[in-house]
Formats: sequence, structure tokens, C-alpha cells
Amino acid sequence: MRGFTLTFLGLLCGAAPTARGQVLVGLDVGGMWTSDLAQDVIVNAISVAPALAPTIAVAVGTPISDVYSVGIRVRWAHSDVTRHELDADFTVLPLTVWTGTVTLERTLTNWGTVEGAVGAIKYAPGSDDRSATLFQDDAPLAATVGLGARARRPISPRWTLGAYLAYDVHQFVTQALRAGGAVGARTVHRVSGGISVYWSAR
Amino acid sequence: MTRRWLLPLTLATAMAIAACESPDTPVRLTPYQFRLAGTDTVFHWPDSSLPVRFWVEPAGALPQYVDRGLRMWERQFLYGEFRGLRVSDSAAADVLVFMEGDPPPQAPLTGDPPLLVCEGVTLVPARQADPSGGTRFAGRLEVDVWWYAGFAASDVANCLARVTAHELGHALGIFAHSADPNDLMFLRPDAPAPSLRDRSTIQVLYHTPADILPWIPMPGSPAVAATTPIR
Ligand SMILES: [Zn+2]
Repeated sequence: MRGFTLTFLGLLCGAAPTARGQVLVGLDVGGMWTSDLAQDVIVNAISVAPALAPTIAVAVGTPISDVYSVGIRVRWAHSDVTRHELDADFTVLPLTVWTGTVTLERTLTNWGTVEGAVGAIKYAPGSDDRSATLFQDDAPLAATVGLGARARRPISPRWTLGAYLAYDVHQFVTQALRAGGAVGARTVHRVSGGISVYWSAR
Repeated sequence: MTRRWLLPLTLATAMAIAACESPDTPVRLTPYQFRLAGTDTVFHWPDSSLPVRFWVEPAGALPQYVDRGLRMWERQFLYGEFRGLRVSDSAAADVLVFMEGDPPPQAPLTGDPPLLVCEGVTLVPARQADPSGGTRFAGRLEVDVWWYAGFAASDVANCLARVTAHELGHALGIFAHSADPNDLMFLRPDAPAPSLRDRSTIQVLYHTPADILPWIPMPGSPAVAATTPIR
């Protein structure tokens, strides 16, 4: 346990400075929590949300100054959408969510970075039979903005290990909800975290 | 303020703007009665029974009318409360659908004014005690439809499609009728598809605790039991 703690503190405190022109390829592996996609009251209070999802992301970035880096990231997350009602959960359908973002990362201190991200989220319901669900007419595409924090520690000249925590937000509504009379969209919050590995191309 | 905080502040502002739209929920009308008259029974298919399996007699376009009706009813839900599936093995079915009499003439569905040149009935099985302590149907639900000769094929097809969808509404658990002729579940259905009130009613039904469970094969349990007909 002490070894693990020291390794983790080492990760936090040993962020690697990056050189201009360097290209970093990163892989995130972790979990994602998503807030409710829909809330309703039909006899009982109902909430619908994706279950805690495994997530994988691939990113490519490069420094543009001594402190800033830009990059692009594609994130995949997959879990079942569940309906929560009367203290029970019912599976609605499997759901994959793709997120593509452009990121701007800033080195705050020598122990880590913060980043901002803007991009788009694409919902991809995984079932052929979604006619009784809020995805019956479409699979929404929504704009998203997010913030994140990362810690890194080089483990070799080309390889770096890290940890990340990220938050993003977007507006969610489907044609089926609109057709049913819903006027607004729901703000959906997502929090993800996990470990990262980076490979330096130069 | 230093440039150091420019990025976080810009993003926080963007997120605050993104989060400021208020959510809303779908509109619903007051539902009509769905309980079985006389017994006040509430029935709907539980999640554990999904997809509900329908066996359909291959008579004319009856299988297509059932498929069409099932898709129409499924589309009334938003949260995965019901799914129906047509199966080829009647022994594995939850609901049996029959065409009484000769196979009907086949014709494309049209938007012609509705004529009542066909009828249907849904047979709701008697109840029996379940070992779990609850109550369960003593047999499968059954839907019968029939048509009258001497009318245009398109009128018969329109009527059968409409009445089959109406009877499927009963098979889903609406064991009563709407008093509004604009609803598919009006006693003599003219509406070609579920209305907003039909939609509201089926949604409320599927979130109301059921008093009775569907039939499952059990030793000594007949597949066909005494029934209550709902026209
Ligand atoms: Zn009826």
C-alpha cells in the first residue's frame, strides 16, 4: 500500500515538461458517470440515465508554447441506459456515447495540467429495437464543453503514465421527447476519471 | 486577473450558458379507465415478460396488421416499458391472435373514411392463485378478429388494421374503452392510430402497480382458460 501511495504521489508531482514540436499520443482508460438524461413523473417519479460506463479515449496533442498544448480526443463510453423507478432499476437499452473534442491544455505547475475541451457528443443507441424508448426517432448529436485535470510522470524517454479527472456538460433532448411535448432540453453532466498512458513521437 | 485563469474562466462561463436551459417533461392528458370492469383488475406486462411474444395466424395480412399495431403501441412509450415480438411457435407465445372465418382480401391501407366492416374481441383469461402468493392469469390472452363480406377490399383492410391495433391495446392491458371517438380505444374505433389520450393512458397503466401476473406454463395449468371477452 505504501508503495502504491508513493507511486501515486510520484505521478502527481512529476509532470513531464513537453517540448515544442513534440507529438504526444495518449490513451485514457477509466469510468464515466452520467447524470439523468430524462426525469418524469408518471404515477411515480422516474429517472433515466446511463449506468456507470467503462470509457476509453485516444488523444493526440502537441505543445504550442511553453505552457499550452492543443490536441484532439475521441472518447468512447458504453453502458446500459436504465430506468429508475420505485427503488428499482430496469434496463431500457444499451447505449454507446462517442465524444470528439478539441482540447487546450495548460501546465499550471510542475505537478500537473488543466485542460478545457469543446466538441460534440454523439449518442449511438446499441439496440435494433428502440421503438419504445426516448431514442425511437433519433440519436442526438450535441455540443459539449468540459474541464479536466491531469497528472503525469515519465517512466521512460518516450512513455509517460498519468491520471485524469474530467467533467463536461451538454444539453440533451430527443425528437421523441419533443414530440411528446417536452419543450426544453435537459442539462447532462458527466464526470470521468481513470489512468492515462502517453507515448511521445519525438 | 492573470492569463493563467483565462482558460478556466472562459470554460466555466461557457458551461454556465450551456446549463441554463430548463428541462421539461412530456405533455399528458387525463387517462381514461383501463381497469377490467367488475373486478377492478389492473394488468400490464411486467419488465420480466418483455418482449411479449405474439403468435399470429397466417391469414391474409393479419401478421402485418399485428406488426404495425405493435410498433404503434411501442412508440407510445419513452422508457422501455413495453416491447412486442411476433413468434412462429404458438406454444412459446404469450398472446394468440386469430382470424375467424376466411382469410381477408388483401389491399393497401388507404386514408378513406373508416367503415366498420370488421370486428374483434380480446379474451382475458380467468385468474388463479400463484405459488408466490399473488394472482396470475390462468391462460394466454387471445385476440380474435373477423370481417364481413360484400365490402371493398381496401375498406376491409383499413378496418382490420384499425381493429387489430385496438385489440392489441386490450392485449397490452387496457381492459376498458375510451368515451372519446377520437381515441383508438373508443368502443367502435375510427382513429387509425393511438391518440395523445391513448398514449397518456397506456403510459399511466404501465406505471400503475399491476394486480395480476401473466400466465406462465405450470403443471396442471391449461393454456386456455375461461375468459372475459372485451370487444
Ligand atoms: Zn375494445
